[in-house]
Amino acid sequence: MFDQFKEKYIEEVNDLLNDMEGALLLLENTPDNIESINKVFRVMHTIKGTSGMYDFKEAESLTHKVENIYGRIRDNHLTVPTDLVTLTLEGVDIIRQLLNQPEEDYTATLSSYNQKLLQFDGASNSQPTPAQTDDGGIATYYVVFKPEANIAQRGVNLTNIIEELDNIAGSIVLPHVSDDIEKYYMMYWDAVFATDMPLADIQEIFMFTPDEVTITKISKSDLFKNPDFVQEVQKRQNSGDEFDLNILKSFAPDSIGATDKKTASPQPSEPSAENSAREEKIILRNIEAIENQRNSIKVDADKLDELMNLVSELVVTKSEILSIAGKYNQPELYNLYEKIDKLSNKFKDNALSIRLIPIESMILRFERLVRDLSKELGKEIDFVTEGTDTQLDKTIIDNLAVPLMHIIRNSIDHGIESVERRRELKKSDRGIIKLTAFYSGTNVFIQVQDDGAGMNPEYLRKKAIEKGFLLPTQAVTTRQLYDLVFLPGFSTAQTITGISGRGVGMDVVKQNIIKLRGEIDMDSEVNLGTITTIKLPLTLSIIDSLLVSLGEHLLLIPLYLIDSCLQTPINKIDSERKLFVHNDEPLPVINLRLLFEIDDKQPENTVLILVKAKNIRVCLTADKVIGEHQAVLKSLGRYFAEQEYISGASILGDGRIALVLDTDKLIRLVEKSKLN
Amino acid sequence: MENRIDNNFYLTFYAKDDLMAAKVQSVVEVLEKKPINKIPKSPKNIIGVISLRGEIIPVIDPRIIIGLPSPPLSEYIIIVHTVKNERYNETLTVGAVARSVNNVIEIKPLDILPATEFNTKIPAKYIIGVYQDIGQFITILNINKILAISTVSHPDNQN
Repeated sequence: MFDQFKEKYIEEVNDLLNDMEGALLLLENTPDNIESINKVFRVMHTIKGTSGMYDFKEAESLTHKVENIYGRIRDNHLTVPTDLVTLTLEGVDIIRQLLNQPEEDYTATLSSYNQKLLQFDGASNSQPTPAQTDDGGIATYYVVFKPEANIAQRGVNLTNIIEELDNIAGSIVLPHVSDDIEKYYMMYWDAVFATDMPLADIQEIFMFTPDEVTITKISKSDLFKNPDFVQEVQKRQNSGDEFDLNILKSFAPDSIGATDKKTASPQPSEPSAENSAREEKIILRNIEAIENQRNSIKVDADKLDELMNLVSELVVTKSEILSIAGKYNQPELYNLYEKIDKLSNKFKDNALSIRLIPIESMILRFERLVRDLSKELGKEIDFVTEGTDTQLDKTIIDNLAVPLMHIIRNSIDHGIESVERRRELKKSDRGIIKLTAFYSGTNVFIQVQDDGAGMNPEYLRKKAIEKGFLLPTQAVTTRQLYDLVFLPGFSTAQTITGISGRGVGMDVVKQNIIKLRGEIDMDSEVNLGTITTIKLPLTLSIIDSLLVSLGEHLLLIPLYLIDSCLQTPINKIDSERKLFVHNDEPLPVINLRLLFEIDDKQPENTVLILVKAKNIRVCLTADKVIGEHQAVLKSLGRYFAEQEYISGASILGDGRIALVLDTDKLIRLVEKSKLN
Repeated sequence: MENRIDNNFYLTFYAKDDLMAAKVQSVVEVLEKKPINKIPKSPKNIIGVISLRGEIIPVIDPRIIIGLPSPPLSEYIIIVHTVKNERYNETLTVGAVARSVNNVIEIKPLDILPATEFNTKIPAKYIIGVYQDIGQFITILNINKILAISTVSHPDNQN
C-alpha cells in the first residue's frame, strides 16, 4: 500500500522537476522572471513537503536549502545569476537520482553539493538586499502544538513535525499528555526557541495542521541571552511541565502584544506581514497544485488498446442497427441510430485522444541537453523547435527520446563548430539546432537540423574503405555514404570525446527507430550542416482522408495533401508519357490500377486526385470519390510487410476495410522518374 | 492437468473435400462466411483481410501453401488461429479459410500415425500426423508452420 503511494510520489516529483527545469531554462534568459522564480520556489517547497512525508530525508534537506535561496531572491527582488541556474539544475539531477536510485550512496555528492550551495548562499547574502526579513534579527518564539484526535488518520506525519521543530537550533520541545483524548491526540507539545527564521518558515512546519498550532512571538530579541530566562526554561525542562507564556513574556523587554492565535494573521505591525501573507498564498497554491495533479491518472497502455478495439466494435455494430432500421422501415429505430451514432463518434474521438501526446512533452530534456553540453564544450548554440504540437502515440514518444538525444548530442558535439571556427567560416557565432516535427501522409516526420560542419563524403569514403565497409574501387553515391554512418562499428568521430563516440552509435539509433517501424536517413552539406530525418508511422492515430474506390478496393488519401479532384475521360491522359495537362500544365499521373496490378476493366471516365507534397504535384487515378472519412489508422500487420504503396488500413463504419495510400512513397516514385 | 486434456483436442474441418484437423488450443474462433477485403499486390495465398473486434487480420488460403488444388470456395468459414512469431517473440492472429467445420474430437498422442506411412501429397513439414477415424483419415496440420510469416510471404519456398 505504502509502496504504491511512494511510487505515485516519485512520479509526481519527477513531473514537478520537469516543470522546474523548464522554469530554470527560462530564467537563464530572463533572470528576473518572477513567474519562474516563484515556480522554482513552489516546486522545491512541494517536493520538500512530500519528501518529508515519504521519508526521503536527503531530498527534503536539499530542497529546503534551494527553496531558501529562491525565497530570498523572490523576497528581495533579486535576479537569478546563471551560475545559480547551473547549480539548481545540478540539484534537480541529484534529486532525480536520489529518488530513482535510492539504493546508491550519495553522501559524497550531497556534501559537495551542499558546499556549493553554502558558498553561493554566502555570496548572495553579502549582496546588498533592498528589504530585510523579520527585522533582520533573532526573535524568540513560543509554540503550542495540540493535534486533534484524528491526526493519524489524516495522514499527517507527527514525528516529522516534531523533528522539524526540534531541528530549529537551540529549540526546547517538551511533550505532554493530553487530558481530553476524545478530542485531542494523546500527546501535545510546546516549545521555546530563538531563531532568525522568518515567521512564515515556522508556520510552514505546520502546513498541514494550521488550526492545531499557536505560535507566539515572545520577543523581537534573543531571550536566551538572558540567564534568568534560560533558568526558567531549564526549570520547565527538568520538571516536564508546560511553559507558562505569561512568565516567558515577562522576560521580554519589548513585550509584544497578544498571542497570534491564528497563524494566518500575523500582527499587522510586523514588517514581515506582507511576506507571510504572500507565503501563505503560495502554500495555498501548492495545495491546489497537488489537488490538480489528482485529476490525472496513469493507465496501463493495454487497457487503452482494449478500449480502442471495443470502440471500433461499437462503431461496426452501430451500422448493423442502421441496416435493420432500413429493413423494417422503423423511423424510431432511425432516431435511435442517430443518437448512438453521435455518441459513438464522441466516444471514438475521446478514446483516440487519450493515447496521443504532443512531442512537446519530450522537448524539455533536449533543451537541457543543448544547454548543458554547449556550456561544457564552450559552444554557443540556440535550440529551436517547430511543430512540437504534433501528436504521436505515447509509446512511440517514450521510445523516441533516447535516439533523438543521441542525434542532438551528435549535432552539438560534431556538428556545430567552435565560435572561432564559425567566425573563420563567416557564420554567426551562435549555432542553431532545429527540431521540426510535422505530419506527412500517414507518417510523422521529425527532423533534427544543425548549421554546423556537415559530413564530408570524402572523409566518410576514406573511413569506410579503411574499416573494410567499402572496396576502394566501389562506386557509391553520396547518399549511400551517409547510410554507412548507421552501420555498427562505423564511428566517424575524428577524436573520441567524452560526449559522443562512446560506443552507442548511430547504428543503435537506427535499431531503435526500426523497432518503432520507422525509418531514418541523413543528409549533409559540408560547412552548411546536417539534417537527420526520422519517419514514424502513426499506427494508432486519426487522419482526415478522402475515401475513393478503385475496382473492388477502397483507398484512403490524407485530405490535407489533396489539392483538387476532377473527372476526365481516360483517353485524355497521355498514357505513354504518363502526363495529364491541367490548366496548361503537364502533371505526372500515377495510374493506381496499373500500379496495384488490378486487372479488371478500366472505366472510361476516371477521377484524378491532384496530390501536392514537397513541391511536387501528381495525379492519382481512381474510379469514384465516395466521401470524407475520419480514418482510424491501423497497421496491416506483419503479413503485409512487403506492401510497397500501402501504409495502413482503416475499418469503415460498415466493417469494410479501406487501405491507406502511402503518399510519401508515391511522391518519391515521381521524384525518381523525374531524375531518370 | 487441464492443459494436457486441452492439448488432445482437435478441431476437424473440411479444407475442401479432405478432412483436416488443427489443435483446438491455437483456435480463437470460427467465423461464418464474412466478406474478405482483398489487398492488391499481395502473395497469392493471402486472400485479403477482415476486421475482427477492431483489429485487421489477414486471411490465408492454406490449401495453396500445402499444395492442394484451390478453386475459390463458394461457401466458406474462417478459422481464426493464433500463431507464434519466434522472431519478435509475439503472437499473431491470422485467419484461414476452410469449406466447413466438422467437429471437435479428442485424439490421444499415441493414436497419431506418422504421415510417412501414408501417401499424402502435402509436404511432410506441414503435417503433424494422420489419425484414422471410423473409416476416414484425418490429416493433422501443423498450423504454426503453415501460417508462419516466412511460409506465407514466400510461398514458392516449399522444400
